[in-house]
Amino acid sequence: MTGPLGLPWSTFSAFVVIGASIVISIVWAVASGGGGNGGSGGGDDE
Amino acid sequence: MNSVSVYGTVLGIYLVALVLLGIWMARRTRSAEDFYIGGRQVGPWVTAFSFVAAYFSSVVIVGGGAFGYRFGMSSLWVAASNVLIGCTLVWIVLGRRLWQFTKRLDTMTIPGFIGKRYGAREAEIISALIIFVFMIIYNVSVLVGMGRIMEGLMGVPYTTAVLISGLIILIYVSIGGYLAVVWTSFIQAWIMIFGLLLLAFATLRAVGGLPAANVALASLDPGFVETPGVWGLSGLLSFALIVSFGVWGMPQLLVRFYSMKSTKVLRLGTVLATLGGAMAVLPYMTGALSRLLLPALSNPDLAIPRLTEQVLNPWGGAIFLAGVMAAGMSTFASVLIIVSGSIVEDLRRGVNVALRPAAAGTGGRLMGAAGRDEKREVFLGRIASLGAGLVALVIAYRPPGLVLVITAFAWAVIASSCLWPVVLGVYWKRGTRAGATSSMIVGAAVALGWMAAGKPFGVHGFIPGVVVSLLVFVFVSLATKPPARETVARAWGGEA
Repeated sequence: MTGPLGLPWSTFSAFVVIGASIVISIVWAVASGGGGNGGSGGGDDE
Repeated sequence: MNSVSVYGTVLGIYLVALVLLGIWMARRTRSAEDFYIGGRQVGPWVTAFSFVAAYFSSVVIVGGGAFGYRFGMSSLWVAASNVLIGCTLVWIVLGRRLWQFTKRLDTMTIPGFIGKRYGAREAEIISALIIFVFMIIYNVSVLVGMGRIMEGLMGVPYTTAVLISGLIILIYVSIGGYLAVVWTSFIQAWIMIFGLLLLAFATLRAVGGLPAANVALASLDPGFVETPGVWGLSGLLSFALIVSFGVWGMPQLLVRFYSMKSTKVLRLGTVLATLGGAMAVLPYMTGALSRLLLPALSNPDLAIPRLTEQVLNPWGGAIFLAGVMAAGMSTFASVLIIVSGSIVEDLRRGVNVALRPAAAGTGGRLMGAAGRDEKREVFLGRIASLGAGLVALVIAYRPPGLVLVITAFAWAVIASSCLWPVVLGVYWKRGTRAGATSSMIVGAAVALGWMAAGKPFGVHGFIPGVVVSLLVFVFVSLATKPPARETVARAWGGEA
């Protein structure tokens, strides 16, 4: 079955993964900026 | 102006600018820490975009285009794995811990980290040797890639092209050290992105847009738009993993994490590296589309150079060439500084300790901070980077066939040997000296052996290498005595 951009969904999903990566990075950056040492990205600088 | 003059003018201005930047950065390089990791003072923009520039070499741009040409749109999955695993996740999972651990252990190199984390000087020497040998070979492939594309687009003889590009990098790296590497890489990342966007838009215009082009590709062979399509699942999956998960064990990329001025850099840096990494789509997609414009290429490696000539005017072509050169130079320079650190900081220390065993008990650098002649250390770093670069240059000048074959192994061998000692080194306290050392040796041997055997089942050597090295690391660690409490405490600090 053909998806967006004339590509099958199996291939178009690569673009979805890239978009999801950008969203994950933004969400993680916002969450880890919330303070404390909770996440692996917490802000302690030693 | 004809196209060669335009290419020469743009490239000439660009190369002179790089050397000037190197000279400027030399004024800020006063200690070994400045030379190898920029004094741990690098901010998010420079860290993120220099990471991207070092990640994507000219080999990726030209080779990625070739993969797109051969295998079609399924190669977009390689770019997707580059972004998710090779950019976003590695920053999130390793960034903060590697920064903290290297700071606590007072080390400037990955071999140094491995040696101190596990209290294993032999592991430090082995990883330094692997990095020394295979990073130089990797750099040969980068130089050959740059030389070929300059030859193809400008008509400059290959040997001249290799000499010009190689010598320019040697000058600015040996003078300006890590700061020159990251600042030139930062600028080079933008040139790469601009050049790739220019070529992608011109190609899309020439083929009538992406939807129409995909329909046309499918009419040639549905396998050019399907996944895994003509590539096949094992080939696509193993290649995608080596060029994305492999990053987790590549010292020239990991160094970005411990040269940051604080872990706060990670927040913005992760987003920027992900956005910058998304440019990986462009060479694969452009290469796939080029099949519509260049249907009968005998060598897929020519897809990007021929496409450049066909869809861009000389000025556009010159900018794209600068982008490809930027990709190669940033990678070459990043690798050079890592090799230099391995020689001066790790191998030299190993030899010193072998000659003066009494000094081994200090636990720190032999030429430790106290009484350390920083001017001499910087001088040695410069000499080592110059020497390592010259070796790569000489080999690339007339590369023997065997070396070109081994370049395909280099990334797999380094990643297979360094990945688990680094990743588990910051997450698993039970990992032992014997586990790390045996995992490195076995990982490198399996990856090398698998590739030498001609990649059975179409699987890249990185996959068996990294799987076997993980198993060896875990089993040997569990079978040997747990690490000494002080070794764990030194690495984990308050968390121990």
